[in-house]
Amino acid sequence: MIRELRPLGLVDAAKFAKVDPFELIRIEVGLGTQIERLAWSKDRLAVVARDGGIEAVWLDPAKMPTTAAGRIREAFGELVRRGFVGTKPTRVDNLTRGLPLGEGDRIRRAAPLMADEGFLLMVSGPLGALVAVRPGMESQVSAIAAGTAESRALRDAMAE
Amino acid sequence: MTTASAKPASVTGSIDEVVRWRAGEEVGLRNEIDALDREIDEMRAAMAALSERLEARQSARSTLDSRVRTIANSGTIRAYQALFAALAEQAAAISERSGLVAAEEFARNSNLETSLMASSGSLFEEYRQFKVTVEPTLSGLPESYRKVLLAHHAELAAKVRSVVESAVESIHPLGAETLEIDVVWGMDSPDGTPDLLVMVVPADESVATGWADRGDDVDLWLAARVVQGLSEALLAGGLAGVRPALGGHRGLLAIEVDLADARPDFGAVLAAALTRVFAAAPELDEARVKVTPRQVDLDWLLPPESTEGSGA
Repeated sequence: MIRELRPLGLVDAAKFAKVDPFELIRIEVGLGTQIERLAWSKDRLAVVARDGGIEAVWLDPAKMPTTAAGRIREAFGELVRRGFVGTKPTRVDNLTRGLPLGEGDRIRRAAPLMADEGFLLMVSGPLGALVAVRPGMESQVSAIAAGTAESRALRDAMAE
Repeated sequence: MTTASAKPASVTGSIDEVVRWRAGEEVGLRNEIDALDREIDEMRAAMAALSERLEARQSARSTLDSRVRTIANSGTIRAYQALFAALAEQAAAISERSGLVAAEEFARNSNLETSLMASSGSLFEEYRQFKVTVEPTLSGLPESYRKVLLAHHAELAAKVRSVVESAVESIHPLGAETLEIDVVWGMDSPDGTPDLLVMVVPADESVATGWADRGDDVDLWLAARVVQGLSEALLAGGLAGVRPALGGHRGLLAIEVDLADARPDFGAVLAAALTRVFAAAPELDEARVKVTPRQVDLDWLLPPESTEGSGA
């Protein structure tokens, strides 16, 4: 019982916040927190998630595609659906929520390359790496998500 | 009367006299020329000898230059090998220290539960009863009752958490010798402006990607504090958007940061941030791990290129 009442250690806190421990530290530094103990209450983690822009869920589990390729494409399509366009970005790691590690890695690798291709915008700030759809590219990104258009970067990332 | 008149000079005599004069002059000049020629020959011989000596010296100088370059290269290779050998030993000691900390933590948790139950047993018992007997029945209660119970439980839970937190926050240094370790970094600053930072931490490289399986240990705490110090330095240095890349090198955690547009004093900012963070890390204090940040030549952190493995 004592264990469940204790603040979470670094690994449990990171798992709870759905980021890696080093990202949790970086977000706290970005929020201006003086990190004393490497321990977090769930209340504090809720604040970190809110202020750090961490989404609990990205793709709706009930509507998640059954193939890895489909899930990776949809992760980018969700940017359009949620309106993360232009000056309204979201964390890149939000796109990986709920996906297996390998699929998350492919999304992280593909995002900057898709930005190079002109489909996305990427910016890095104190709270992490952020991504948004480049204005005017919404329909293209939706088509890539649907598999009716192609991004070479995404295709290469999925093939690796 | 006949007077004696001077005999006119004969042509032959006059010419002979000229010839004698000329021959005499010529002998004298010839002697001078011969003397000069001898001197010139001697000088030429001396010059040839000097030239030979010069060539020999130049060759010797070139050999020494080459040896200096070889020694500089060997020195860098030796520094790289010595540094990573020392850091590997430190990493092994950290790993061993993690084991001691885990054993201590286990024992402390057992004692903590006993002591908390002794000091605040009624609070814990009430909390336990709610979780075991009341909570499962909540869904069957009218909402107004449920709200009252949940509000009361939230109040109780806050009290219980506060008791637990104050108990676990006290620092209990490990009964072991202080472990002194180094976190090293090097920077490339071609025009006095840093543009690349490489850090090496004496922690197992698997903390970067295998943290979920490893769990909390001294390696991870050390790595996290390094990332904290680095992130604070980047923020203070106006580089908040820069993302450090974590990976491994020779089994140790290595961090690489592209420092484009960094201020020339970034090294000092980083050293100050790391020193401050390490000094205020209670978990490292408890583990009796003293960390010193050290800046070294960047070449000592990069694998030797062509001569790697030469054993120089």
